[in-house]
Amino acid sequence: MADRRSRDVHAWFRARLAAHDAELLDDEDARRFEAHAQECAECGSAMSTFAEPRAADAHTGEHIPARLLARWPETRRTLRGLPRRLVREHLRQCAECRADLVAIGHDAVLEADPALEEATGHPRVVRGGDIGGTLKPWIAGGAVGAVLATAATLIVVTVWAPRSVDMVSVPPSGTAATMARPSPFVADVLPPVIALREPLRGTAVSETTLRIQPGTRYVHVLLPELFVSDTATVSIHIVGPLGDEQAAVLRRYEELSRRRTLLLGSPDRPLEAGHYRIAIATPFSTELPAMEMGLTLAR
Amino acid sequence: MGDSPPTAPQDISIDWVHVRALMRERIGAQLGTCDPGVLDDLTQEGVIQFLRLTRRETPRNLGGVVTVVAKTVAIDEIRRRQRQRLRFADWEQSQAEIDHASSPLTDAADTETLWFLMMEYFRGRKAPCAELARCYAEHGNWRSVADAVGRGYEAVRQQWARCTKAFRDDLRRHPGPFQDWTDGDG
Repeated sequence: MADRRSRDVHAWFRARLAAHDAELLDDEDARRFEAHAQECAECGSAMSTFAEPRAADAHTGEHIPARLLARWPETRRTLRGLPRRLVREHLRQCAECRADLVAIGHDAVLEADPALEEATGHPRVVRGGDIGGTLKPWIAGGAVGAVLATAATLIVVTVWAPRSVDMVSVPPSGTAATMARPSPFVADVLPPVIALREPLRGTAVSETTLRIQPGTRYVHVLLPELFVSDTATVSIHIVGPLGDEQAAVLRRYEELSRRRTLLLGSPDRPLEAGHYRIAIATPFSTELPAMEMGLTLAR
Repeated sequence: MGDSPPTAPQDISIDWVHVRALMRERIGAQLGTCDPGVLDDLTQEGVIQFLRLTRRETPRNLGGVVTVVAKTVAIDEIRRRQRQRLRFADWEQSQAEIDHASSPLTDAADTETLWFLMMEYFRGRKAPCAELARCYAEHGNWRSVADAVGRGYEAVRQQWARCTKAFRDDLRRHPGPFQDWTDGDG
């Protein structure tokens, strides 16, 4: 019993290391904490792990800690309670944190999720992954802003599963892509997938022709397997019939590779017939030679 | 924090592929054996810190800055592991902990996460508390804070106690990964 009680004291102490370091304990807890640190060498040494040098952002609190941003897919999926709400509030107001996320290839959005924000207690550890998977971030470069800052009129939807669709919409004069869930209608009426012809060995260009009906708003195309690492950042640029860049998307290959399909189009107007160019590259690594696929939409 | 875009000197030309490779190599060298996935995460962490530094100041010696950041990230990781080992030293306890483990990234053992959340809470709700926290971050102890704000030590401590109580009370309602210490004797 004494052993159990003593173990509880250590557990109590160690669960409060950061809270003590952040001056967040109430007076009674702080006294109890410090008294235990004096009498227990092992716990005292745990306390010393907060000595200098510290992480650069240990006591500034001005920006979302790099540790959270570096594991953003996991943060988005698992952060709960008040901490989630606070991170979301900060992200909405802080251009620098948004820029940091875009620079490492993520959308600078933390979705409001009442189920997560009202939740109390610990999330269960999800083993085996979920639809989003665990993404290992990859550094994108300073060019990210330029990649995303393009005029665009086409909405590109990357499709992971028939009923789970993420829509990436590049605003006409914006500087960052935004993500939104399309209406369930879009997900329910996905047109059949057409495989884009792969560039032949030794070439970097291919052509695919697709007949569309008047009024067609979407085409659903399958990208070739790129054979790059899951963590690689892949850029997709779509240039329309008039030579204007219509969309630019930056994704980790793991996000693209689940089905590697793109839904091209817009709910607002029919697709224009003509020749589209889809350029794919890994801008921040040399894993993939740039390739371009032509897609002719013919009536 | 601010809603203006990051300012110069971010326009300097930085070979990010090189920075990333260097960061990974330096962190790896500090840590020794390391799971490649963990090393990826730590590299990313270092690169974000580097990015933030370059936003404030143009690095004159890129390799030197990478080395300093990599060392800080590695030391931080080593210390985090030490704390984790201590917390999970007891197998019975670790079974229970692991069963409902929070994500390691939101582990309650990180001061910077906790401090950031507290600051964000104060910024949006209790501006005087945010000011006090900023002052503490600058001076590092409450006596100096009291001198700096021209008030008594006890008065400053009491104000801080009220500030942190408000945050703790709200956090207790929706603790997310911080249930361990908001749970009372948990």
